[in-house]
Formats: sequence, C-alpha cells, structure tokens
Amino acid sequence: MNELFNITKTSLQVSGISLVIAGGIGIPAGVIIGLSAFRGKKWLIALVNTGMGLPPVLVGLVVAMLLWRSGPLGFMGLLYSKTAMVIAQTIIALPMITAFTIAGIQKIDPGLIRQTVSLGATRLQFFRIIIQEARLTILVALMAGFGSIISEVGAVMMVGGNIRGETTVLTTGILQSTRMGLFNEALLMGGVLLAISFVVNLALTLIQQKRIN
Amino acid sequence: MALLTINNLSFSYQEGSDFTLSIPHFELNQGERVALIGPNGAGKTTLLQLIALLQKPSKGTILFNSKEIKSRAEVIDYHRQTAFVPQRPVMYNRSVIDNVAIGLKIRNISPSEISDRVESILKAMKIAHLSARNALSISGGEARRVMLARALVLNPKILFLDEPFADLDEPVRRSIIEDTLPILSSTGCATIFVTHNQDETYQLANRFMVLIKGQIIQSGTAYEIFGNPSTKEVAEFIGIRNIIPAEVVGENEGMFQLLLKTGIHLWYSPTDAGAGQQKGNKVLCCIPPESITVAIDSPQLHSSARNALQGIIKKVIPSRYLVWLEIDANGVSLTASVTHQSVKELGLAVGKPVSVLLKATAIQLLPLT
Repeated sequence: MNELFNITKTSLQVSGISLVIAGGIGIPAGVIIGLSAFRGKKWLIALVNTGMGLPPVLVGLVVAMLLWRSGPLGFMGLLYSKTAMVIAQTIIALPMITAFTIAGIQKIDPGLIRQTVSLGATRLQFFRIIIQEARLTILVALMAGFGSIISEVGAVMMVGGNIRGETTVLTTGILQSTRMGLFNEALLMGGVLLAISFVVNLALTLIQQKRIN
Repeated sequence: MALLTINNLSFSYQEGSDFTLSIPHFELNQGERVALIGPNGAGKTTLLQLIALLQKPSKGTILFNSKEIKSRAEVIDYHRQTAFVPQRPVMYNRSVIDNVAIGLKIRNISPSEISDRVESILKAMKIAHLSARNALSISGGEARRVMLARALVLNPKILFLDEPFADLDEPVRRSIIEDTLPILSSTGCATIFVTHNQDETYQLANRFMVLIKGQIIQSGTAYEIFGNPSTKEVAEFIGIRNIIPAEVVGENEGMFQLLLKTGIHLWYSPTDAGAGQQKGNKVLCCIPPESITVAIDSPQLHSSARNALQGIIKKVIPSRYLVWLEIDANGVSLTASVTHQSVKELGLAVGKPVSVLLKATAIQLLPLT
C-alpha cells in the first residue's frame, strides 16, 4: 500500500508539473498564434496539430538521446530522473494544449477582439480578457493534455527507467506488475489511474459546465 | 480648436474594392453629431474604424485635441477617451452588468464608482432588469441597449456608432433612440455615426457627410444635402429618381428653358439667386418624385405649375405609405409619388393617360460631368 501511494504520488507529481509547464507555455503561445497574422501561419498550425499525434515512445527516445551521458545534455545527469520524465511529458502535452487554445481563440468573434481593443485595453488586459472568453476551450485543452500524459507509458519508461521507489509511475508500474504476473497489483494500479483521471476531469468539467450555465 | 482633425487620410483595400478611401481633411468639434451616409460599399464603416484607430490607414495624420496620435500608449489613451459601438452586437460571455462595466474595469476605475455608474446607465437604458442575465442570452434589441450602455458609461469625448440601430423593428428602434438622445445631449459628447436610415439621420445628426466610393462628395446640413445635392451620385443616393440630361436653351424673366431629349421643354426657376444658368449649359435635371403632381386629363386645367406634360402610366408600384407611378411623358420616363388614396380616387392604373404638372421651382440642376 505504501508503495502504491508512492507510485501514485510520483505519477501526480510528474504529470501535474508537466501540465503546469505545458499550460504555461502552450496557452500564451496558442493565444499569440491564434490572434496573429503572419506568413506561414497555416504551416505552423499544421505542425502544432501534427504534434498532437507524436508517439510518446518516440518523444521518450529523443529526450533520452539528448540526456544520456554521451548526448549533448548528458552533462546535466538528468536521465532516469523525474525531471527527465517531466521534460518528456511536457513535450507530449504542449502541442495538444497549444492546438486546442489556437482553435478556441480562432472561434472568438473578431468583432469582440476589435471591441476589446477599442475599450483601451493594454496588452496584458487584452490577453486576460481574450483568455477568459476562450476559457471553456482552454479547459478542454488542459483536460486533453492531462489525459495524454497521465496515461502514457512509452516516454516515462524511456527517460525514467521505471526505477523502483524513484521513477515508477502508475503506467510503468502496471507494465512491470503484468510482466511479473502480478495481475491484481496491475489492476489495482489501473483502477487508481482511472480514478485519478476521472477526478481531475470531473473537477475541470464541473468548472466548465458551471461557466456554460 | 477642433476636438479631432484628420489630414490626408487614405486607405487602400487589399481586395474586393476598385477604389481607395481618401479624405483630405475632416474636423470634428465638441458636441457635433456627424452622420456618415452613402451607398453600400462606399467605405463608411472603414472610415469610421480608421477614425476610431481600429484600422491602420495607409497614410494620413489624426490629431486629437491638436496632438498627433503616434505611439501605442497614445493610441490606448485615445481609445480610453472614445467609445466604439460596432454594427453587429458583440457580447462577452458574462453577465450584462459585467459587459457594461468592462470598459470601466479596463480604466482601473474604483469598484464603488463602477457600481454607481453602471447602475445609473442600466436604468437610463432601461435594462436594469437584465443585470444578472448572461449577455449571450438576450435579444437583439436588448443587446443594442447593452452595447450603447457599455459605450455611454465611459463618458467618452467621442462616440463612434456603426449603424447602431440596424436590424431593429421600428418601435424598438424608436424607443432606443428616444432613450439614447437625452444622454448624448446631456453629456455633450461628439458623435460620428454611420447609418442607412434617413429618419435616424434627421433625429440624431446636425451635420452630414456623403461618402461615395471612398470620397466625401458633399458635407453640410440636412437642408444642404437633401434639398440641394451637389452631384448626380448624391442625388441618386438620396433617392431622387428623375435625373435627366438637359441643355439650357433659353431665358425669360429669370426662368430658364431646358430642352430634354425627345424635344420636351421644361421651365426651371432657380431658388438661389446665384444659381443662374447660361444658354448652352449642359446640365442634369433632377426632379424629386414628390414634387410631381399627377392629374387626370381635363379640358380645363389651371395650375400655377409652369410645366405640364402629357403621359401614360407604365407602372404602379405600391409601398407602405406611398405609391410610385412610372409615367412615360413623351418619351421621358418620370417617377412620381402619390398617396394610396389618390390612386383610388383618381383610378390611377397602368395605361391611364394623365397630366404631369411640375413647378419650375421644384427642379434642381446639377452640372453634367
């Protein structure tokens, strides 16, 4: 039970921090891309959308190659750490959050954007107001981003190494327990994973639906 | 000192237009209410957005209180001293009260002052009962009131209105105008508004600017524009349907004889002593439909009208208050407006021979260009 608690805590830590970082970068990036007009915008959005389909194991492989001792960032000694897992999961969640935010911003009536400018909003006030208008879609972006990382196994396995007591998360724990024939343990971790996913999404959905009502 | 001065403003549309918006000079003074009128696609909304600094001009200068607006900070300051009401209602996804207060919050006004000002404007615009409703759920007429409230609560020095009462039923439009006008008058804020509705222009404006293909063709009071259009385009825009090329061929006691095509002669008496013509002048003869009297043929017809033609009714087009008659008078097509009652009493119908009477003073002449 103690081990399950630690594994759950690690899952929440890694995915939680990744979500915050990816949201912190992806939401402003999505707002800027959504509102700006520049050459190559369609190509950039296509690239971001493609990023949503990045295989987590490939992300893990590339990050691992950067972080292993002979890699360009090997001097940082981050491979097989929670930090490496956060880096990988942030890369996985970022395109999804950015893409959803872009879509949400582009849905906003251009007349409303013009009205906000005409009211004399500073840049910061403008972004705050626009993000608030797109808040329902941004909540969806965060739900989708969280869902994509809490349930992935490829990246965290590659860069975390599934070290017992250190970098084991629920998904790698399920994999490990299954290989060892400990199916009850695996199912229990699976249940916890689903419960976490449900609770987080319930909270975000309640906020979203409250705003809709 | 003018509140707003615009010099050499020009704007080139990227696509979808065959002209450039070009305004050499425009001034707006405190308390003035200027109506921007013109046909669809003339550039009225674009000009309004350029003056409101919501679109960047290709060139030109805009001076507010004699100071040129250049930097981003100056633009924000200008926006905070003016208010723009767009053509289409745009609402933030929040309550009506928050929609009205948003401009005040942007200006960092204190919560207590925001509360007082918002409460006062909601009452004045008769939407206090909608305070807590989500603004996306209100009707079109209510949304217009919210947008006006959102602008007026800011006490702007200049108010920009883009067809503020468009797409509203007549009673709703009248009601909103009645509630808005006293606020405009009491605050004394200058207003520039775009409208297609001539009744609105008469009620709201004290100066008019006719914009055609991106240029201000005529500017002045209602009498000057509607009573004395300066070009054929302005005359057509304000609804003068009878615009016929003619030549001045004679003069008699201050009246001029005009020769229309097909050999018809009309007498023209200028109402302005300075509007004298010369023999040989090529002109456009403008005859307002409401100044044409239609009479049934009678052996003895005495009238003060100097011009009497014979014609046949070709078309009868009823509208809400009037009936439009297209009459072929010796090869010249004239449109006259008469009441429904006249049509009934005189039996005016397609094919009926009629006399067309026209006072010499009712004709307006424009230069033929």
